[in-house]
Amino acid sequence: MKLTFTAYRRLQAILALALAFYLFNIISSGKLLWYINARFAWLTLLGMFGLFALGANMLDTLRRSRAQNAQAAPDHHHDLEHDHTHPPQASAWPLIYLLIPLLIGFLIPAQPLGASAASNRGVAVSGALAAGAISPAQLQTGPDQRTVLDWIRIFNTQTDLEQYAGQTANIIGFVYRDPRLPANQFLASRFAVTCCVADAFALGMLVEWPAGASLGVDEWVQVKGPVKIIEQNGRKVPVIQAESVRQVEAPSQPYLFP
Amino acid sequence: MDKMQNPPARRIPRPWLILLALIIILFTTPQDITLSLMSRIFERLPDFATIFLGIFIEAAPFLLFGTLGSGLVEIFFSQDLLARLIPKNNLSGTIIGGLMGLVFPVCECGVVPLTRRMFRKGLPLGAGIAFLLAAPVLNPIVLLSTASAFGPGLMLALRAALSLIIAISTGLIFSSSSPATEILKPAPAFAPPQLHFNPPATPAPGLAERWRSVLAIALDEFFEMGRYLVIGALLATAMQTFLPQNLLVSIGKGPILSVIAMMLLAVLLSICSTVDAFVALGFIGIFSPGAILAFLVFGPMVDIKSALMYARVFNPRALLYLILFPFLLSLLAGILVNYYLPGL
Repeated sequence: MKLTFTAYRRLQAILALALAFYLFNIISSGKLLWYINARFAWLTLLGMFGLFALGANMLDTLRRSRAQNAQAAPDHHHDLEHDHTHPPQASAWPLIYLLIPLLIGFLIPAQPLGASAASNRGVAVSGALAAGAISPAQLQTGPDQRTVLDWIRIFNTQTDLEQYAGQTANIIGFVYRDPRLPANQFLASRFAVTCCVADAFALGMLVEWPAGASLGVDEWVQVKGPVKIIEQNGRKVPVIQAESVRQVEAPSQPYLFP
Repeated sequence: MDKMQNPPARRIPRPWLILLALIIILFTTPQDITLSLMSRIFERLPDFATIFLGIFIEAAPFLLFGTLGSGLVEIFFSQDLLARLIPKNNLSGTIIGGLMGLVFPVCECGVVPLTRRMFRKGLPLGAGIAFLLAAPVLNPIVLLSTASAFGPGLMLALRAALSLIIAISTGLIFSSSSPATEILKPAPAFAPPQLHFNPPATPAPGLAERWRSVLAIALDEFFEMGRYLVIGALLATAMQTFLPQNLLVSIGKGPILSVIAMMLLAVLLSICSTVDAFVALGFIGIFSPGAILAFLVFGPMVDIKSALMYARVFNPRALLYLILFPFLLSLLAGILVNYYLPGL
């Protein structure tokens, strides 16, 4: 596929604008948080403005140069006298690659990571994730405010765990079933995303719920109940003895950001 | 693009060759294997899309900043200025090259176009290589993010010092072995230094005109390097989605294997150096301290997408050394830390 200089540049500009539009689309719909940690959202916003500036500048430059050329050579014909060289031609292939994120972004329905990704990565009940990165403020959040991540962090970093036994947990997560677990147990899981979903790390809290087997995998549930402490591979791990398991809508921000 | 300089060496365009290879593979593998692979791919397609877009969305702004930097250097940096700032002397030039990231805050995506631009402005080879390898770590943003992840301690100091030492020694090896012309690929035909839309009539460009050129160069380079970002992100995503992740963790035990596993993980994950410290934090306790350090030192120098971009700029042999030296030196550093500083 050969393009003239001008056509190549115009295609570049259009693709840059389309990428900017795609970023605008996921930022405005809030789906950006399905892809990256909220901490870096401002970078995506800057990138959107940058791509828009690049594309708009090029279209404007092309428009001006066309106007200038028309002025300079009003009756340009392909006769023998002309001494300017014709614009070179370029292959369009290198531009096609940047079409891939656009196609994937617009054609494949967006979906946050769920149970199938968790089964590939494994769900940690006592992840070493961000060990030592717990702040005193996080320790002081009330038990019913704690997320899966907060609970696991506490059990990773604190030594005196008995004080947490019997506290009522109130968490949201998706259902993940590990084949090694008995039928009345499941994991209420969340993905923790530090930077972007490429480093997503599935965390889960064990839930005891007699009707657990009836829950569909990947379903989002709100679990309430007192916490019991058990030993697993020599580590103390929290188990929620569920008093209620309620189906809920998937949260708009499905991941936890450590 | 290549065809404009090297007249038809290849008859069939590469994309068609890839397609042909895929078709041959498809028809020669047993059908049940193909089918199960296909169903696995379809099952994982939404995850694949999400992870790919995650890497792309995270990295694209950084690539954009690098190409804008490259445009700024091209338009506002004269060759004389660069020659005055960087001594021709091998050792001092290379050391300054390694420290240049403190002034140009770029990560491993943005540094490649910027370095190539500076080579064209006459930057000595050793200084350029040292800049290429060190800048993604030795810049204010990354040092700050490492400090906020690990605290201002030994990990931060070792990360900075080792990156600088490896970058400078690789730079010195390059500068003493061969001239730059043998190592760099020729400039692509379609990145004209200025916009030659109307060359004879153009008067000395005004400031607005120069800014327009900066944006035009950035656009060109964003597309030229962006495709390696896309391919690199596709490869990294494929390996993440189709290989079980705890495989590496289970291999990575012991003071030596853990270092190798973590370095491979750095290549596979292809995370931007500005944020990789937070990711490394998650591996404390799973991997040895030397492995974490090697992840932080080697990852910014070599990963899938940056290696593909290097391949655009350097010839194959230089590319090999550019990956091999940092690999061996980071491995050595990680192993030494595990034996002599196990409490890091």
